[in-house]
Amino acid sequence: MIARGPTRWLGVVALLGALAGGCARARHDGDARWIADAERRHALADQQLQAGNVAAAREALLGIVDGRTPADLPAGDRRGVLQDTYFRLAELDLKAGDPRAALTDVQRGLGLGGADDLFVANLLVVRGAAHEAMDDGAAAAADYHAALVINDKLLAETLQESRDARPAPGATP
Amino acid sequence: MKEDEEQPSEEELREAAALAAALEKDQAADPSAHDAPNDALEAAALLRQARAPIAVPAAAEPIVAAQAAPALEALRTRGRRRARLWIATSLLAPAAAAVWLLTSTMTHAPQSRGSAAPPAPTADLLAAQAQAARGGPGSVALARLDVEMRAYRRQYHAGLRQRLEETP
Repeated sequence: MIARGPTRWLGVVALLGALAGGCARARHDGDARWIADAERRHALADQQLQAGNVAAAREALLGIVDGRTPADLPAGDRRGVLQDTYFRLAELDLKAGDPRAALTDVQRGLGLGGADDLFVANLLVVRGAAHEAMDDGAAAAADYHAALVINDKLLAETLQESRDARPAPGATP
Repeated sequence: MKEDEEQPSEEELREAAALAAALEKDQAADPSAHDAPNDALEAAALLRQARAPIAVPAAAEPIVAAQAAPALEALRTRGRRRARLWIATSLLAPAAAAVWLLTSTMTHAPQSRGSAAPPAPTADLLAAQAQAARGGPGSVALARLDVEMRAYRRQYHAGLRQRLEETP
């Protein structure tokens, strides 16, 4: 009788633990599936562009930004994937001769958050090109400059990493 | 069956009546009880004793009370302590489970997993980006950036997917 109570509670705790584990596992699977879907859609867009079907490529990419993203996906990962997709969409808008639509896509992408990374720099580049297409030289120059500042920083980091990865002179391989 | 076995004798009837009377009331107060057999009277006395509550003589009451009261109080205290323990366990066990559930859920949520640093861009990709950021007419530089980005994107997505799949 005395031992039955604690055993019952241990059972409840174990059950809750299994439930939590299952929920966490299911969430991670959902995140990975979302990434896999984005991967598939980018590959499809590549194929469609290769075939000259810009509308189908655009459709494939819109599925990433218009779809529901897993709420618990790390914010930086979500931002990276979505900003990269907005970059491509803006690029397609520019190719289609619609710089205003490109600006809208860029604004959506930059609205997801800022960072000194490749994705933000790409959005600034394509926004500069859109301003340029709209004969707004000053805005284009500002965006290009901001992109180059990030680019310079990234180049310095890349060079530093390659220097670190190189064996020190005199070290035995 | 024989005739004499069916009909009780006068003596048997008297003994039965005396036993019944002894069971019903105090035998000592009944004069007719003298006629009852001794073994029947003893049995009746034992039965009466068994039914009667244990009586403590008035003189012994303070001693019994002094000895029994602490034992009874200890029993009551133990019972109360056990009840408190059960109530506390009933409240604490689900609370602990809830806290643990919340903690484990939160620690496996985005905050703990964190965002993966994107792979370092290659020098060629950065050169293409810098070229595109110089502007100018045409979309050649942007097209080159797009080509360089395809390889980087594949690497980025594969790394993200692998990390999310491997996260426990």
